[in-house]
Amino acid sequence: MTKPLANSLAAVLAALAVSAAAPSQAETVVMPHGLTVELPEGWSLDGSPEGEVSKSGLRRVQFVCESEACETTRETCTILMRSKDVEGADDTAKLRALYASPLDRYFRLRAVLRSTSKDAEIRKPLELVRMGDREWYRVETDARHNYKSGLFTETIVNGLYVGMICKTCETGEERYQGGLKILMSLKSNAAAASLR
Amino acid sequence: MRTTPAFRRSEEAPPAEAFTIEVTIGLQDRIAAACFAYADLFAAARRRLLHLLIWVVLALLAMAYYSSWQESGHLGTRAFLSRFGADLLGLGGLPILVVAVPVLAYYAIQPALVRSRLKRWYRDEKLDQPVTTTYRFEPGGVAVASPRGRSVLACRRIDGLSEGPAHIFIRMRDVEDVFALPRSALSAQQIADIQAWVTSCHVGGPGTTRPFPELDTPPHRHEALLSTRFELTEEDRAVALGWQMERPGTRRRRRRGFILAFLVTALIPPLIFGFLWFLDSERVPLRYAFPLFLEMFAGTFWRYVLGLWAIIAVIILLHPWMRRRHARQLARQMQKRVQAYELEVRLYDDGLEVWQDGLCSGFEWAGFDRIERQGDHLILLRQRGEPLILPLRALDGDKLAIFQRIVDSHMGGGSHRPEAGA
Repeated sequence: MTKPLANSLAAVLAALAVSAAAPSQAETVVMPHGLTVELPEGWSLDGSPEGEVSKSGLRRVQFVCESEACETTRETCTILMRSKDVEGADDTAKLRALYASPLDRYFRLRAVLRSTSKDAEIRKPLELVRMGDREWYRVETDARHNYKSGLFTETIVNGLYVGMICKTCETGEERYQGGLKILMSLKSNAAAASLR
Repeated sequence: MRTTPAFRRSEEAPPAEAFTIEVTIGLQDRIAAACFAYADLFAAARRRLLHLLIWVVLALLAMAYYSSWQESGHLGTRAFLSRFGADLLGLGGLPILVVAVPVLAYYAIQPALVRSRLKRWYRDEKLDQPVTTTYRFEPGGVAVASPRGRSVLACRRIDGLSEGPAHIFIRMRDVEDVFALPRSALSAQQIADIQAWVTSCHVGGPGTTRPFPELDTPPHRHEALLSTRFELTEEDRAVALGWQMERPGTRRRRRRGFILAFLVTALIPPLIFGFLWFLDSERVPLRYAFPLFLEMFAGTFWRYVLGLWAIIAVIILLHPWMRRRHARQLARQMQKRVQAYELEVRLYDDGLEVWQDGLCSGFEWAGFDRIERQGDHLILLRQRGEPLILPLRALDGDKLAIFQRIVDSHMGGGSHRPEAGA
């Protein structure tokens, strides 16, 4: 078998695999509080969809990317939920209240830099951005060599604090492609939430 | 500091011969004398600070203990102890550090601060000029003469000798002063002479039986123009102390202190924040933190500053009352330290004398500056010495009129009338 033939065959096989896998692997994860996300191809749930609740009452649901591309980026994401009430009239007001004070913003920067690595940099400042159909407080860090950089986002869904942290070894301009897809797929089933 | 025992009954002290020592008493000697005479009060003030710190630290520890207990999730002693230890070494321990470090620093430098305050006081009161003082030691007592006045003490008013590194102090019984003689101005022989003199001339010593003509037969052959007796009470002392607190120099420094307090408090919130930021090992780099600090100052800190300024304003308003209270407390302490003697004030043509048992002080009219009236007291200000206080109750009947007439005819200037300072 000649080399070009082998290449084209591999490409066809890959295309077949994608077209066959894509519909079947768009897995929907149903989490507590009526929240759902859709996992892109190559991503899977790490642990239970119920997640684990820490002593401070923060629920963590973890996702990990196991695709070929992720072998180098080793991207992971964690969705955080806290049922504690946030002050504010509606979700938008509550979200804005999260970082109304510069002191809170300071401690947010301190926390994300700390959880990234020593001497980490802020890649994108802490600000409100619209991603998907929601507003998020987003901050991105750039780690030093050999550490994972992070994307830290927070929003309020029906009064519930929802955070999402994605970590990657990627150092290029395009980062968190999988993570952002999960983020934008976040949906709340209020009826389901009220049933729980 | 070595203190020569006042009592040496076993050995018969040789009766010291009369000798005279002339010493220039400078500012440092006056400071040393005041530090020595009031050592107990200064030490008590210093101790009080430490006690206060201990209570504050205990309260802070209790608060840290409670919060650590809450945060350790009641998971037992081990979890609590590790949490408590981590809290104390981390940010949780900072309030204790913030309180303890300045207080301990103040505690450490308090003696130096006392000396510098005394120095400022003597400078303000123009008592900082060196004065040549003659001490005439006699078997029956000591006579001290300087341009500021003249004092004669019988041996029964001499308490003993204390030796410091730079001074020897002749302590007096029931007198809130001490003779501080600088070692540098004395020869070894003179020091030995004074030591020998004190072994004989002190309360209960053989010197008390020796006659001292100057006290036994007053130098003034003629009758005093006016003579009055009174005892110095706690209230008199409080008035004198209160008067001291209102001297122009003291008021100026107080004003300056308050202005400084306003400036410093404006800097406290950013300084505390900067300090905490600096101590934090996980601190956010300044390039990210600085804009937030600016925002904090514009948004919140100025409110703290205003709050602190309001506290200072309240302190300024309450300060006159606090000063009076402090003067009363200090007067009570001082009254307790010494036995009160009946004082007799005698006015002569050439000056004024204050007599008490075994002690006489004389001041020439020329040395007086003016008289201030402070409520029920007259403060007799002298050009080169501490003022005298005379309660008006000692000048009952027509004595006040006589006193005024004598003062008018003998004191120079026009502002000396008691009413002038009322």
